[in-house]
Amino acid sequence: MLIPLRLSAQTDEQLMQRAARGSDRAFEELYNRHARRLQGFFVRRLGDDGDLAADFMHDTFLRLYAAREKYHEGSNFRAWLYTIAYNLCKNHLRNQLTVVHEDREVSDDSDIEVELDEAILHDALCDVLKRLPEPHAMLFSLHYEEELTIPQIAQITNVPEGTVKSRLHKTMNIIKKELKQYENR
Amino acid sequence: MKIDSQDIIRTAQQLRDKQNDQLSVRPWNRQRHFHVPTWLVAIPAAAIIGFALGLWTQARVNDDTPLTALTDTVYIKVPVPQPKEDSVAQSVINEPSPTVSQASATPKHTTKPAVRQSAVSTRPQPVAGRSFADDHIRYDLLVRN
Repeated sequence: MLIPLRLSAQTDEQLMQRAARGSDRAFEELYNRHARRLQGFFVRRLGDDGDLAADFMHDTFLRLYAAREKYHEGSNFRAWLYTIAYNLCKNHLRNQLTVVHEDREVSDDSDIEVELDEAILHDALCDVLKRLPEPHAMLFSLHYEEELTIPQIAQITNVPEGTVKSRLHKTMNIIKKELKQYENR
Repeated sequence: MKIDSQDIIRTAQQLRDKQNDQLSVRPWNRQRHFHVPTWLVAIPAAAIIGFALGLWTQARVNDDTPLTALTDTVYIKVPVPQPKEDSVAQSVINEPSPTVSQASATPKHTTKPAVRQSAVSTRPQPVAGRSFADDHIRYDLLVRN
């Protein structure tokens, strides 16, 4: 005998399947799980505009709700969610005429040593991440903050996995170089 | 303190958590519109419209009919009093009174007592204990008043 699992005990993919079959409660559960984190992602990517981030987060979920019947069994829910969010961000930044520096020249020096106090590191990293150019900022956010895997990021950004890996490596070097400037303050 | 990639990632995640905790997230159901079942609206609406339509048509009928059709004509039979002799007054006049008997006893008074007699005889005197007349009116009471 099959006993239906409680919504909170189900995976994102199981909930999405139920939502695709018309369960609004399952979709609401997904919203409750991911809304805050997605809104935070938009806050960081859109420049600390809380209201805009909230609107974008809702827009993402509304698009997801509208397209819920197209969900295929087995596809990763978070990858799908962040694909919508990534495209919204990209369109917004394009409309804002933000200059995107593609593959800025960064030395491939992996042995950059930074020495900082932990208290300073918080404030310094906060500043550095705000000034981080695209697409490095987006990749850093997706991989380290939103904890998406490299294949998922490759799927979201429509970029080969190798390119994602090398860009992430460069991103970390940029951050270290920027942090080095805070050493003697 | 030496900073490596792991320190940067850990600190970035701490910053993320701190920032996310400060966010106020709107509930999903605030965005959705509340859907009332169609039948729950249609049935009461039909009842209200039907009732209003009924009142309106009834009002139209009443407006068109003449006023005389709305009132009932009542015919009242008004009793017409028959001109007949007042038997009570007549009986009072015919009743022998002490003044009349005294007058008949003294024949000296010729003119003046006659006038008095006639005045006395025309004035109705109260008579108690008489039965109802044919028209069921106590004339004696009327006389007294």
